[in-house]
Amino acid sequence: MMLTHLSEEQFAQLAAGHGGDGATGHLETCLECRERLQAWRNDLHRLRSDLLQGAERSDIYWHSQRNAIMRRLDATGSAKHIGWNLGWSLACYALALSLLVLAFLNFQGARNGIGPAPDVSDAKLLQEVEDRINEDHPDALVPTDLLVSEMSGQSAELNGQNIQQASVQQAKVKRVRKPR
Amino acid sequence: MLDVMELAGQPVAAAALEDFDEIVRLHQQRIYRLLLGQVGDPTLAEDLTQECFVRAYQSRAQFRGEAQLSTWLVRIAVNLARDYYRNRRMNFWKRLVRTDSSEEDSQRALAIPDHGSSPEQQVLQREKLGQVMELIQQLSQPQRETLLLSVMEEMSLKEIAQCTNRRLGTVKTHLYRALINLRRLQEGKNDVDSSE
Repeated sequence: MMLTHLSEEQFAQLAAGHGGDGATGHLETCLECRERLQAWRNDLHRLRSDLLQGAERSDIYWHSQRNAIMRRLDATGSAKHIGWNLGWSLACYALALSLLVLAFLNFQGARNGIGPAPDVSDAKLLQEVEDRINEDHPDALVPTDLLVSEMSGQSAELNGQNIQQASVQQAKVKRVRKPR
Repeated sequence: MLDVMELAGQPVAAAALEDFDEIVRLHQQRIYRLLLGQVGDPTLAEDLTQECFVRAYQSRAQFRGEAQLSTWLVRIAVNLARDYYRNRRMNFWKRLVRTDSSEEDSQRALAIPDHGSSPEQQVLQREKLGQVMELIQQLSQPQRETLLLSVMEEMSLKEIAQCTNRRLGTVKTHLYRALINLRRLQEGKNDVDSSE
């Protein structure tokens, strides 16, 4: 049994409905503390009823308040919907604009001759390179060929056309040398 | 029952605007009362109540059903009241510079815009509310918040901790301090401990 009276903390705990440690035993024997606790509880009860009474409104008020809330919710929903539509519209416009720009650039490129590269197959390309390698020496280079072949003594190895040309050239040279 | 997670068989997250009307009907009085106790101004409490439901509707997808719907709404209301006090603190200097009388402001704050009740009723309500507000407004914001949720809404300590996002021990401390301070104020002692 507690000899001293309850503290404020213990009264607060009891008034809030939570058991204060060892306080209940003291309350059974102490009339003063019981009365004080009752006063605490009465004050709280009064506070609650005053607050509830102060916040009491008529049905008309609650109805109009509910309508106001629903109007705001409706407006919020509409604003969101409008925002969503606006976003989509802007995206579509941007896409259309970029497509137009691309089409215009492509058209300009075609006009300037910057078109796609001609389609040449690998086999055809190889054939062209081979032909170029195998083609005959131009006429201007024939004397050089002759000189080279004379120096290396490989005239016999010259192909038929070169031999023919070489003989023609030699005949010309002899004809030129004869008058001397 | 609508107080729990579901609304006519469908989750709150998928609730349409028409369904939300029922949620407003069921909870608007409680939310209004709580906000009125917090801010002490009927007009402001009305605006904040509307805002509370707008926020609830916008973030209904975030309601996971872990708590009761009413607890979730109370939590939104508590945050709104906190935002209000934060903004009010920021506007402190602005109001200091203003020279118009604060008496007029407090009269306007306690005017109850209820067209459905008689003028006598309104006067009585205003008086009651004025007396209570005078006491409650002297408590610190966390103490007031905890006291209102406990005394007026009769919430358990655990529920208050959920709504206010505080630890159970902190909630207990705030509640007991609020009760002690309230008692001191009612007894005419002015040494209120407003530590948070």
